[in-house]
Amino acid sequence: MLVRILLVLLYVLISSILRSQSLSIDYIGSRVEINETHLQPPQTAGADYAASIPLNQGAFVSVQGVRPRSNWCLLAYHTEPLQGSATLKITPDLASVPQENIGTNTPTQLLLQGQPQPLFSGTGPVDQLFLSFTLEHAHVSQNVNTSPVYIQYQLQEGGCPPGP
Amino acid sequence: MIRRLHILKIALLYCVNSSAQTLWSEQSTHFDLHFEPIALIAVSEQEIQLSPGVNTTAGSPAFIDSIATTFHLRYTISPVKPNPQLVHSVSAPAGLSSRWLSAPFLPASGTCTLAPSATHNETNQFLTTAIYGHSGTAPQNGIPVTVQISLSQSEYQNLDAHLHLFNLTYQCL
Repeated sequence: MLVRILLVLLYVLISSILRSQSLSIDYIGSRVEINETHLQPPQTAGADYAASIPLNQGAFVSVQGVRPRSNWCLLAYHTEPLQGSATLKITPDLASVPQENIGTNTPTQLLLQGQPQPLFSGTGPVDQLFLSFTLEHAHVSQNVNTSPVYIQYQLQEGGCPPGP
Repeated sequence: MIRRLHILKIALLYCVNSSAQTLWSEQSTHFDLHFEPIALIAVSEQEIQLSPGVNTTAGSPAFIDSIATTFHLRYTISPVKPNPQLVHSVSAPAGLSSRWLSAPFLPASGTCTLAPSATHNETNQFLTTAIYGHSGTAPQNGIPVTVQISLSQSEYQNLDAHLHLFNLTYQCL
């Protein structure tokens, strides 16, 4: 009986915590164009896409409803891989938020994978954290038409674990 | 009683450990990555000299039976169609007989086969042969396509200009 009461209390506590924090991701645009100017060299017959293409895309991250000194970790992963061997790299702009909001073990960049990976380690509420995106290893022969990029973001209590 | 305390201990341990990695919130997002179709084709430009370096004892130019030059074809084509093809056209100057040769090649991505060698019909009309195969990207240094020019002595003597152009045209279909 004591165990049940304890677990119910814990459930209520965790549920109340889950309801209070909010995570918001706002992309600058809903569509990113890749064309012959992204070849290396640009607009050159026989050339392939540059190994690394900074995308004309960005995102603003807002984390609200957390206590001022509480640590958290923002993680990201893709739910569907990109076409071919292309990958996506996300880089948090550490200059876009006050220094006191940056936690320990903040990664400098994240290569998007199928499993959640740390993207940003924060402290307290954060508004307008900017993320930039880079497309890597795209090939003309593999990447065609329109390809949706599905990214799942997770806000987790506690700072990010140390990187490798 | 001891068993219940043991279960309570495990439950508390689980709660304490998991609280360090509690998932507060989660958001699903997406944006579209649109790759515009690309069709870039280029041929290297070359200049070859047909003038002979040797004269006969009678003072007339030595007979030149053939001379060849190699152009380099480069292309970057998005595989947006299932069966794309390149059309290769050669326009020879008047008074010249020519044929062009091409070797099958295997680009870095996929397979591509050039059409077999063909001979100009000697009426100075366009010679059009299709390059069928996989679209994709070619090596930056290009794919060699050789144009071989055959001259008879009378043809050579009838050349009335110093510069004759072979126009190589590629079209992506």
